[in-house]
Amino acid sequence: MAGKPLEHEKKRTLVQIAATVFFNGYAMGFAKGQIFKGKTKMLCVPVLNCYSCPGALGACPIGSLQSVLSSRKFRFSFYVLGFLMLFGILLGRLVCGFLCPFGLLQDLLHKIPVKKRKVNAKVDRVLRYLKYVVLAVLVILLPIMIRDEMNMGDTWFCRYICPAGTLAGLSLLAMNPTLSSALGFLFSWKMCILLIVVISSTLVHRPFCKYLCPLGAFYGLFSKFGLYQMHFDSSKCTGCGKCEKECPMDVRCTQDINSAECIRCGKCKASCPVHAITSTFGFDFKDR
Amino acid sequence: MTAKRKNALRIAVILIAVLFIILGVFRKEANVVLSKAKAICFACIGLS
Repeated sequence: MAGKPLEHEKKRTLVQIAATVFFNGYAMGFAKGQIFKGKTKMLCVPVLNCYSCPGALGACPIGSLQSVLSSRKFRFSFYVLGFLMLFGILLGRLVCGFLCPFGLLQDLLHKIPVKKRKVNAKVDRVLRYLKYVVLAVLVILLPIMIRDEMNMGDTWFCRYICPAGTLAGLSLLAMNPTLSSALGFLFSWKMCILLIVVISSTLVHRPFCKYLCPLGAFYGLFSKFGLYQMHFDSSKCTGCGKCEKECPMDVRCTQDINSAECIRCGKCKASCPVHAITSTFGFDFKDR
Repeated sequence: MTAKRKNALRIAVILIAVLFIILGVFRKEANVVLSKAKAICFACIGLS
């Protein structure tokens, strides 16, 4: 794979497309403007894939977590947390790099040939923490703490932020005119967020993943000890800097190869001319 | 972190995760997820 970054990117894009089709395989939903209602929706998928997408066959883990936490009966979700931990330890942010449909969308948007921008390093460093705030406050705390008179909470991230849900809604609204009658301020707000993410994705690589995605924030917690690990061999490195130049998440590959920001896209590995970067999946049998 | 410790941590996380999922099913959390996921989520698509 090393030395063939373009070939690697083509393969990665194909895997991303296959994953998007796999998680959204209910083609009839797009034709009818309805969503899938089968039992597989009981299972969480590893990616940010709104369950209101007409094709969705499983449940979005972030939406599911908020739904359980905001329900009358529960204040903690063993079920969704179990799925998140399992995906986190088995795949980690490999999900972001290879499986997430919203990641694919941002990657494709970034291919649009417009002048690319670099976010100021200080601003970037601060904004990177925003996704952890989103996870802690909008996904966990507010759904548990703020309740209405029926003792029900709200899905704050889904309602006010999630652009994947807005995108899913657009295809539903196009096919289902009765839903269009309920459009209001909230839809305009969410459309603004979606447009900001879409436009900024053409200028900056994966802005939603870098700054807002609570799922990426959670999976990042497993980067240092998950089953999928990146390895950097400093004895082979010639210091050419190609790996760091290629990295879409601006990870300092030579210093922190298993950074929580790394989406395991493998661009660093593919671009390294001396094979100084490798990856392994599974249990370790020797200290590195 | 040594390989041995890393592996122990991984096994512990996998076991806890599986245990949590089973516990969640027994607590009927999966039903909450299913009921939410099989209805159109108005909040998600921006309809109030």
